[in-house]
Amino acid sequence: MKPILLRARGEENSRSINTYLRLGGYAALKRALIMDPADVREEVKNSGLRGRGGAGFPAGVKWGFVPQSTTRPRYLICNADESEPGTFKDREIIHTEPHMLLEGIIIASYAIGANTAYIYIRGEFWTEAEILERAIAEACRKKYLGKDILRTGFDIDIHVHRGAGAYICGEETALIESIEGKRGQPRLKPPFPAVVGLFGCPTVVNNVETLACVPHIIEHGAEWFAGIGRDVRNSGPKLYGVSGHVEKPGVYELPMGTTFREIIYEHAGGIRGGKKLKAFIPGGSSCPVLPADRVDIPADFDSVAEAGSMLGSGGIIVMDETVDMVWALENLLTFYAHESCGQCTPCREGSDWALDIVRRIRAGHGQPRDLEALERISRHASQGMTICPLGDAFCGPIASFLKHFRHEFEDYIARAEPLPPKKLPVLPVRSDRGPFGI
Amino acid sequence: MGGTVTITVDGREVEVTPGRLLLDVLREQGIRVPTLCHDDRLKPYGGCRLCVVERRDGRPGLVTACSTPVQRGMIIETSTPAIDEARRRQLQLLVLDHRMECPTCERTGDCRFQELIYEYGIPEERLPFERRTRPRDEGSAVIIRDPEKCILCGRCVRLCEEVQGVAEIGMVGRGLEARVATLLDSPLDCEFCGQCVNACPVGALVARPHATEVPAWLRTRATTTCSFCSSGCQVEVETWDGRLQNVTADPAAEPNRGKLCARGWLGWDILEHPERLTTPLVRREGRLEEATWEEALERVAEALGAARDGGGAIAGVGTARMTCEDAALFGRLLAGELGAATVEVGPTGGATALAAGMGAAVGAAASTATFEDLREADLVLVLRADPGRTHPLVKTELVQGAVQRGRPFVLAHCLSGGLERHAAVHLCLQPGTDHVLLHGMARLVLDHLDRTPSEGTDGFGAWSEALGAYTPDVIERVTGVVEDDLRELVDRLLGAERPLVVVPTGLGIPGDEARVARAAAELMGLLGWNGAPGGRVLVLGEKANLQGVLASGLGPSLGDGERRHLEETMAAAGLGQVQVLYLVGEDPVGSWPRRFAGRAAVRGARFVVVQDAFATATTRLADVVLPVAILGERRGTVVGADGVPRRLERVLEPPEGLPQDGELLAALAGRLGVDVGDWRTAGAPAATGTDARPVIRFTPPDPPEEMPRHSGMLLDASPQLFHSGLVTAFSERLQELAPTVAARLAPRDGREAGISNGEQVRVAVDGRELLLRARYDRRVRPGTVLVSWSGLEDGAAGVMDHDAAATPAAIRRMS
Repeated sequence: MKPILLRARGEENSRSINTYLRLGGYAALKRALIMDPADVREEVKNSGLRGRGGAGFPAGVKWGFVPQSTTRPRYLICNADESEPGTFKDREIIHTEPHMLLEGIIIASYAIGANTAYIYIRGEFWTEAEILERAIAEACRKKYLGKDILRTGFDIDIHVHRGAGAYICGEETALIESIEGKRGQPRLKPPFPAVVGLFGCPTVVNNVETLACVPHIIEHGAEWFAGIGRDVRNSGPKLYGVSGHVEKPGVYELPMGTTFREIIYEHAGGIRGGKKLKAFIPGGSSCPVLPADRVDIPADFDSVAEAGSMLGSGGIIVMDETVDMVWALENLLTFYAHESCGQCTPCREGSDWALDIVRRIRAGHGQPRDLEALERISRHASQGMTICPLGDAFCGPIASFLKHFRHEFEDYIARAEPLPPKKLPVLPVRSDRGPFGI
Repeated sequence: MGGTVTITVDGREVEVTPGRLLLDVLREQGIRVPTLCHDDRLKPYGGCRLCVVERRDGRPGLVTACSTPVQRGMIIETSTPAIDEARRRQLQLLVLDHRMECPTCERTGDCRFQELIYEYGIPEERLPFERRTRPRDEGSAVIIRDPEKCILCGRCVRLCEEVQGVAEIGMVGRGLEARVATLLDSPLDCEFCGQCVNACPVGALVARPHATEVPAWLRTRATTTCSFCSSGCQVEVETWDGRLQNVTADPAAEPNRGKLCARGWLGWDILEHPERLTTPLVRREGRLEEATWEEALERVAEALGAARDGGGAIAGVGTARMTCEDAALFGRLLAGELGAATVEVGPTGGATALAAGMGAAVGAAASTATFEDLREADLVLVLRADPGRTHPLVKTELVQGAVQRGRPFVLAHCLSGGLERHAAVHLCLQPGTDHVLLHGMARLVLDHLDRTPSEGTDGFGAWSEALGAYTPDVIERVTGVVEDDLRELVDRLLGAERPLVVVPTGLGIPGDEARVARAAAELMGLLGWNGAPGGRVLVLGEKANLQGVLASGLGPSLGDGERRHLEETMAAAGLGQVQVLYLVGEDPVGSWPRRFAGRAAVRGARFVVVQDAFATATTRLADVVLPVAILGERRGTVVGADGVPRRLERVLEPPEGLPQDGELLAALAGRLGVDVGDWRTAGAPAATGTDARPVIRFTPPDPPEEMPRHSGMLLDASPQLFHSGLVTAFSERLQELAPTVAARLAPRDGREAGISNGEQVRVAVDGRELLLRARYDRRVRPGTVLVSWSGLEDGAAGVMDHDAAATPAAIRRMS
């Protein structure tokens, strides 16, 4: 397949609007603006485009939830928070062709009737935020942004909003809170953002890659897009970010449904140093791990779900035979315990407790009942027991690591020594900095 | 929506309104659903996950009842092994981070977390780790914080923001590091309303003044009405061995729904103030000395007996803090039986607003709104002052309306105590010109009326003619409100279906309150002629039972035959024409607006009786001083600003078994051979009624007067939250919290006068001076110097001219 989203990778001045125009950029926008917004939504719905941020919700359907009769402003938010470990595809799009993203945002805004769009970008993406600011300035000068763009009467402004370093702000409602200037904590749903979102107004939050697909769908048609990939439910080009123990880590654009074997062995150059594959996480760190024998399944939403995991963001983390799976789980849990926002009990306390247990197992003081405790934590902090999916995000790894690699944990526990009589402070002892008093 | 849907709860079908929260529905069905983070007064949070129930339809599984709206056809089970297991596990997770020291915890026996742990049991599974350690913070004089007990339910934080509108505390840090903290961990500098402490389900926040070692099960709990202001808040007073242990509020009790304020929460130490009077005092040979009750009462009875039927020889002045029963007895004994010239309520905020203002417009000395109306109003106009300072409960209703429901309110006061943050429109009004603004609005409303008040409504013609002078440019010149703002205000008002005006009174608020209340009632009534239901007016009296005392016949004289006006009586007393001046809870010498007249009256009257709980400037000049019970040491009825009568219960025994006002009056009646019946049931108080009465009389206003031109500044008084100077002066806790009185002025004025921020200055009014520290404050209206009202000589009360809308003042450097 010829690259679509990353077609300009490696080209000189690929970020400039002139390059983008030369490659046919903003033609889709012109086409979209003479269509009825409902037809734009229909086209995207027919393309089968599913959200690339992780949940895989059909984008056109999401746009359709926005009430059309409302007199209140509507907002589009592009989620560029990309903070899931193992995921680095959105950055690639912004680096390569920021105008593709902007065009997607403008078309999507038109489709849902928004006149203001935000790009919520993680704080660490300093360069990328600057790239976007520059691209927005260029687009404004060429009248693709601003008042009455292309003399169609449609107004659209895009603001870049930088995050301050919280994983939770990648969750769409916490992201909205963050833009509103509040503490990043997820909101209760319902109401969903499509009805009550940013500043209480209807809002659609889409991932960078999702929006980057939109101009291509408008330009080449829904059928063309649906024709790429395994089937219409798993269609389009997909960016797979491969990291870990491969020869050539990086972002690869392939048709949706390419097998993991092809991605890892053909495109990413196989396992580093000729070692054997042990396991892989198919779509960013929150997706359940899969053992090596599942490497032949296609990397698309439905196939991965059938195999008991998720395609997520398509960030594939490859682990070779040398990896200590207890260490790997500890690594993941460290991240989630640190990033839990603290609002609901199961995630706040559960992630930390689970981390404590895994650390203790690794420190050589595991106990036979520890694995049951881990499983219980994962059961009581997932599947709707928390407000947002962060609970599932740390429970998925726990359950899958124990399911596929239980023996490694048991080995640790079999070799364990009793705890020394003195209690070990595992977490650093903290104290409040200042007095609360008057 | 409309209509209902059917859901199935534990196999039974229930009809409910769709969209309601499942938790409310289940509780209505009598099903116990445990919660820790939920609070009916707050938006759903969904943090503790204890309220899980099992859903059997749609996507089956556990759902949180507190955040799940009811949908058609829902099938809910509320008691299954899965639910119990989930709740047990959530509790276990919370216990991990909660220092269990129940036996020594202040909250033991009164801790929801503890109750739930006993109920569900915690799996025995101890961690071989030490958990986080965070020191208990004892630095505050008011709130002790124990972060190790905090379960991060967030109720304190959310109440502070959604109800109190202060957001002094917030959640800081993520995950296990999350904690409740102030901005940058700076010292707590808030309204000390106690909402956070009262809402804490565990012992993480404890009121230092109420910290007790007496466990909950030994304390006696009783409900009474808080009598610091006229909101009528219901408070729960916990005592042990006759001593106060704790003050809380029940979230289910109207009108305050669990809300408190600094005064009602902390001010109870006045009961134990060293200057509290416990023994009767009698003047012997010019000196006030302790006496027996027998001697004191005999002296009073003698004096009253001698002056009986002496044609205006007796004058009685009572406080609006008296219960209805006591007030009725006071009137019946002095006026009815002894022929007193005057038995009136002393000068107190709201008395003339109700009697003269509302009385003139709607024909009844009462507000036309209840607190329920305030909740349901879709536009509120707040005049004269920040009710957060005068009536904190009303302020929380405004905040909740704005923050939780998006209901707008207009604040027409320049410098408020933080309420301006939540106001949809904030008008920096020239102090004392509220009535001018109202007339200006009425003039514009008239243009929009399809129908005008019918014949039979007194004075409408003359009134509407007089309003002709209140043109937008006049309004701008007098009040400072520009035409665009005025028109926007009128548009909002015309667009509202249930508008309401709040008129706070008392605590040094400038301007003629009667004029403001009347103008408000006329404007609100006018809206009713447009086919709409019309607006309402809520006058907030300063003292607890103003409405009740007025209804008990102690209203200010408005010309009903024999009685003379209070001022005339006091003037007569000053000339020695009053034989017995009987004061109940009033301090003319120390706290009345016209102190000199007050002092002259007390000195001039031949015999002065004072019933009071404290030694005041007046008791020092009295002939007999009778100490009485106050606050929750009394029983009876008080009628709040909303016209609702509420019970005052004797939750504490008064020291030395002190009697309350009515008891003393009854004893005197006995000595005088007068039958006034049982003091406990004298004058059964009725609800004063707060119906939306139509305007029956329009009073043409005087032509608009511009502020007198003068070279200096205008003095404005700002009410204080912690301390108004009368009763609160005897609360050491509140005194400790009250900021030092300062002269605030706009930075520009300061620079022009060569006064630097923080410098010591003289504020001079008509020959009298205050020595204060100058504070630059950008929120102060240029041309105004703002001084806190403390009711005492050191604040604005010491120099203010109480008749004028604004007092010209000069501010000068010390040297």
